[in-house]
Amino acid sequence: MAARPQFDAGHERIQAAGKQLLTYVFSLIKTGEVHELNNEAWYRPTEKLLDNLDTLIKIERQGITLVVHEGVAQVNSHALWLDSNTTEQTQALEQFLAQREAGGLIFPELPPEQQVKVFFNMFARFRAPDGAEDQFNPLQSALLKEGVTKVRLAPQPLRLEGIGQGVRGVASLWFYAKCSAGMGLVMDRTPVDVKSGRRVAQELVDACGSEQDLLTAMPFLGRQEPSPARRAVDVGILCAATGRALGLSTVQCADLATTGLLHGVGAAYENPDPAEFTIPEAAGTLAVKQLVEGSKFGAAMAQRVAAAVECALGPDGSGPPYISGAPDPLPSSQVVALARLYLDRCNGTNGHPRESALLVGLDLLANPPARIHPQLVRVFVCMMGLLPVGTVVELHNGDVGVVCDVDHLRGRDVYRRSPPPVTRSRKVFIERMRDAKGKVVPERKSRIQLDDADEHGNSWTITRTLDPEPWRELVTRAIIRRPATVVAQLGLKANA
Amino acid sequence: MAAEEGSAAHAIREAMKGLRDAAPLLGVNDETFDKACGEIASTLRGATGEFGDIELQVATNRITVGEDIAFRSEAKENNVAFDLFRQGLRRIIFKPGLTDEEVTTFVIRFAECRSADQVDEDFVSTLWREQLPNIQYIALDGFTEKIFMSEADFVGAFRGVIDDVVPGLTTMEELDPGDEAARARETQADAQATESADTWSIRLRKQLVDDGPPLVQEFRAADDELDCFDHLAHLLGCLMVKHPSPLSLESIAEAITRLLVAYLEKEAWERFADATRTLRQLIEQAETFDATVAVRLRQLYEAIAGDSLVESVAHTLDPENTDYTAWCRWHFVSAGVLKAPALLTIINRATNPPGVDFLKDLLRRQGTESLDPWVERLKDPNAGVVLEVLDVILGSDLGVQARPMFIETLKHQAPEVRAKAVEGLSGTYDLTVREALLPLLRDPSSKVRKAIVSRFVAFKDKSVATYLGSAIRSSLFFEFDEDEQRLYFEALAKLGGARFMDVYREQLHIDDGGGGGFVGKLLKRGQSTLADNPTRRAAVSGLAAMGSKDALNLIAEVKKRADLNLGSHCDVSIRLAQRGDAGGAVEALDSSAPKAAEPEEDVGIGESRMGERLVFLPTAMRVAPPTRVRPAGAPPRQEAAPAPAAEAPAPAAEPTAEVAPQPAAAPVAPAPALDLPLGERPILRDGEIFLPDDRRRLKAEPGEAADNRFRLTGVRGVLVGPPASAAAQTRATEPPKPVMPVRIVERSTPTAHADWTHQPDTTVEDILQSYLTGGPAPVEPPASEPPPEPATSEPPVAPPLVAPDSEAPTGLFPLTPPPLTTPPVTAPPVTAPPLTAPPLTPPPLTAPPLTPPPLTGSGPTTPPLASEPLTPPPLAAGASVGPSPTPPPRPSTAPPSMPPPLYDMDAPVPEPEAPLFANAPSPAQAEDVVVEPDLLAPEPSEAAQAEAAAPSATVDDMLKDFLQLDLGD
Repeated sequence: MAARPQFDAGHERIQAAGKQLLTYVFSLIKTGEVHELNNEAWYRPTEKLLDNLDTLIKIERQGITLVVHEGVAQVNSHALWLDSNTTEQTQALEQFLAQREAGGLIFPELPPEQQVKVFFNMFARFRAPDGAEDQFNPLQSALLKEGVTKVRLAPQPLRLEGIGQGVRGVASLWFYAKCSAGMGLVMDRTPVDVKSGRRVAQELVDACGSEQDLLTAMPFLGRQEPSPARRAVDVGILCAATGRALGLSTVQCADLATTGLLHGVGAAYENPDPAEFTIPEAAGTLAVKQLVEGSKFGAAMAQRVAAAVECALGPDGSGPPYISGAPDPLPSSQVVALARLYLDRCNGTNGHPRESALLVGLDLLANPPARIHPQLVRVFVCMMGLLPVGTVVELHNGDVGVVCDVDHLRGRDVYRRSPPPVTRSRKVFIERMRDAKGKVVPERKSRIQLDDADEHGNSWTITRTLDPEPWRELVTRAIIRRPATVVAQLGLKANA
Repeated sequence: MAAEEGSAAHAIREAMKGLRDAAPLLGVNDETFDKACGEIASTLRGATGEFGDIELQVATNRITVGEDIAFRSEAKENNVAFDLFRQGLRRIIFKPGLTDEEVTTFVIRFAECRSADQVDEDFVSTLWREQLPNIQYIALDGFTEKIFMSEADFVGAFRGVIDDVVPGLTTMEELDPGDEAARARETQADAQATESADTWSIRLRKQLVDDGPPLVQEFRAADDELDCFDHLAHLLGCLMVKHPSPLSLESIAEAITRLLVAYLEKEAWERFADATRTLRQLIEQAETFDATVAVRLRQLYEAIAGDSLVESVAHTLDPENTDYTAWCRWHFVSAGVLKAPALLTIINRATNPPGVDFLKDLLRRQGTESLDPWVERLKDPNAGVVLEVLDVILGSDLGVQARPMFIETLKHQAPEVRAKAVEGLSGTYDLTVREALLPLLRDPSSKVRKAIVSRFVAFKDKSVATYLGSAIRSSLFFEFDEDEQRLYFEALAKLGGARFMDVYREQLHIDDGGGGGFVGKLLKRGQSTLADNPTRRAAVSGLAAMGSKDALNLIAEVKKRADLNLGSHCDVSIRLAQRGDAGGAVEALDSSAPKAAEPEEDVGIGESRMGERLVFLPTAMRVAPPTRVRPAGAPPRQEAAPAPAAEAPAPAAEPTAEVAPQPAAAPVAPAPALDLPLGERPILRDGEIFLPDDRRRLKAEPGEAADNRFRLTGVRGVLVGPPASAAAQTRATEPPKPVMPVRIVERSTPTAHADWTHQPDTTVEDILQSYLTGGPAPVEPPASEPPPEPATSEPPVAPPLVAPDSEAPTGLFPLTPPPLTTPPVTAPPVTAPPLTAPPLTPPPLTAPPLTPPPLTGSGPTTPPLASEPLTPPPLAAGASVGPSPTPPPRPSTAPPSMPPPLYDMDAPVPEPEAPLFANAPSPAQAEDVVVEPDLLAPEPSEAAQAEAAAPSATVDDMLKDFLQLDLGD
């Protein structure tokens, strides 16, 4: 067992200075309410605040963010140990900040004394203009106008109960974006932070439970070359979804997702000779180091490492890391390899031309890759569907629509189910965005279900799929029908 | 607000206190832990039953329920609030219907994770896996916290993903404004494809239903840990033979060991044996792989039979599973990787008693090669360590090999160590031992002195009787206790006998009036009574042990004058002497000497105890690896280095990745096994090329040659030359090469050869010269055969060193003709041409210094060794050609134009005056080389003749002469 966290001198200094900072922020807000800028009452709290801020910046060697959220005051990554006095101050400060729809203060560097005074003076007295949507952005703008650049408002965090929850699209976007950003940190660190990987995998499995069709579409909606971290999340999502499609347990799904997420962490280890070894070869080989660094050696770790080595071997086993006599890959490795192949073909990465999901699916069904179980290929293609969410289609009447919703593997009743849930029926919903003449289809009429009858009694059918590039904005609008709500629930408004 | 009694907060307070106190008990006191869990469950059940859902808000140092502070602590350790907070938990909701199992699970997981920063799973993850229906929670992960804290980089990355996936989302209007112009409709999948998709969709669902559950079962089966481990072992095997590999040798070794330890942790003894056996077979087949891979594989022996693994094996050893124990013993002993000091360290750390016994057994089986490290450990000032080492050595079969260590340990400061060292010398005795033991007769420790005396008696070394007599006469003797005094007297009796009767008389004071002494004389008394004292009793016992008539008479004389106590002792002693039971002290000590170790069980029987299963077939790795894709712009790779011989010292493991030159995109297939009847270790395998600093051990036939000053038993050389790429050019231009001095190794174990008549008369120099120049040794053909036909006038191409003809003798020597008429040559002087030979190519950095070739034991200059030429020696062990007086057919003879010789041809080469093996014996004397080195000199000098005329003496004789004492029966 590892040692307990060390409460060293640095920690104690941060706690002391952090609590002082909290106290003087509170004091300065009150000062701003009462005194004009030329009053001597500003001197002492300003001086003290700057002293403590200077101490914190020196210890942290970076800017300081003070956030007060649901009774917890936090300075950067350090939660403060509050006594009864500071607890009351924290609650009061949280209320002050909430009036400005803010969560805290950001000091990118040590501000000049005058900026501190101006900031708190304006903070206490500012009134947003009539008709303003919120308090936060007008105050922020006003501060900038006054030249206050080294003290900023931090946006108000989401409420704990509402994180990643909301209308359709919030969960998928929140978890996809957060996990992609987070995996960027995981993929750079050694020893590999498996804890974070597991938490991300569990969140992805949970997110699949609410909107798997949309979450599995995320990897195909972007146009940027995916970073390794984002590619890891893409593979993790497809692995989790495949596990659900197979009717595995939640734990198995999470393990499978973890395997997918961490299959590329070998790249975190330094390539000893970049002139000799390509990144895939080095990553595939160096992933073995996890065996030594991991604290728990079990099936999950073995599968993770095996997948890292095997995922790039390719159909004939000749890919990186170029080993002879390799065994048949484990099922989990096959899922990872298949997910990677599917992503590469649909996104046009790693030397593959970009293809539609429909064509890729058909080709995989007709020509399943060697070293991957054909039944697994069928499950995977069926899980993804030939018309995944985000596909731009032209309907039989000439309307252009976007597949916005696929009712196939929703909810939590897919775990430990036999026959596999993937055999369940599928309903594909399309949001008609433009009619045959290019006009907007009214929202109330836009959503149709494939194979249902149209107003003429004909079945809604697809005549062809279209290149989504010219339709990207409409794809967004089709899958997220309430953009403002989604933005607010993502907590993005304040950041805008 | 503080919690009031009877409130939900109060109940939570009690529960949290219980949680705090119970958590440290997990794994320490299970009974108390279970009881505590029951109490916590009872409290929470009662609270939820009364108040319904109870929501806890967790902060760093407090837990609140609503407005009430349920728990508060500023403690830095064992603070439940902080432990939950730092795991990310912010809310915990206990719901009615909570069960004991749920609470117990919650407490166990909390206890497991609260202080474990290194485990791969945190508390929140385990709660997620457990899916406790009546315990809900809200947790923050580190990434969400970064968003909350507005960490610029993280938020930037977060926003970047959203902007890419749903561009324009944050600025998008609620209502679709429509398009100003029609958008392009580019087909991605046409109508045919969509039709096909419809067809496939129907077929696919049907097929999936028909597929049934096998795939799911396969997934579930793949969760079997041991199967996963086996799979991983297979993959690691593949990586072991991967070349070049970004993975350093250390890393792969660690990974292998970790995997094998994982089997042990699961107590999967058989699967552990299977995996280890498989990897071992792969390593043992190293020779069938590419040279660099072979080296790498050999170095990985440590991973499967080294210190780390044996420690884990000992830690988990199950004494009931004797088959497993036997197999492990076979594995570690036969692998021969373990070294004594490391084993001792592991023993000191081991806590599992059966494991300790197992390790000690391994330690006892250590061979003499680990003596040096032992000597270091014997110098340890800690007596406990040294005693442990001595115990192990005593239990080992080191025998006489360990004698120097025992002698060295006699100087140790701790008396118990010295005594133990004396015990260690129980099996051997000679002049050296005697000289080492004698000073210890005056050792301050009684235990040591007793042990010394018992050794002398045990080996009946009568030469020490004088020393014993002196010791008895010394003033220190009276400080000895009675037992020790008796021991000395009895030992003197046994070793000195009647010659030392005066010593007994002296110590009995029988001639000076006994105990009366000065006072008696003063009072003019007659012969006074001999008072009883320890010394007299001991002396009487000694006399009884002597048992001679004189001795018994002396006892009788003493008895007459003895007081009551001493008189009765004399009676007893006389009776014992008459019965032949006297001398008990010495015999008692002698019988306490350690018995010889029981013969060791044959470890070989363990090999098959755990079956023969292999996790994978090592031969499967011998296929050519796939073509590697190298980074763009990578420089071309060079040829792979050849495999050094097995005897060559393995290079130290390098922490960096091993990248050996190899042609780009041209994987080198493993060298095919040769069908030729090669020797035990041919110099070259098919296709091998020597590179600078390659090392080979050259085997000479006959295995040794000697004169009266040295014995040549083998030649070890380092080949120094240009890189392989320049090898052909180098040979064509016949450049001079810097030469490594030849090292002659003396070997104490002689090897007898019955018949050397078929051996070529080739000097070591000739061998090396021909070897380095790629041609046969410049020797004359045997007189009994016609001279060979000169080679054709083809360009001088170096002939292969290994005979291509399967019937031809293999190895180095058979390639040279047996020169029965070689004229005598002199050994090269120390200022031989290699010193001045300028190398054509820069010598490698590791090239040995250009010093004269030192001939071990021959001093700075080698005297001319004129003798008859050697007859052809027999082939190396394992060679297929029998001892024939006629030389075997030679594939090639000395070419008319010789390849570049060993030394610079332009430099003046002194005319050889005598063969190197001038004193080599004739065939008739061949056996004498081993037994009587002096006979090797064919024409001894006068001094030598005089010396030879002196009667030969055995060691015993010499000892006897030296001591002028009889060593006894």
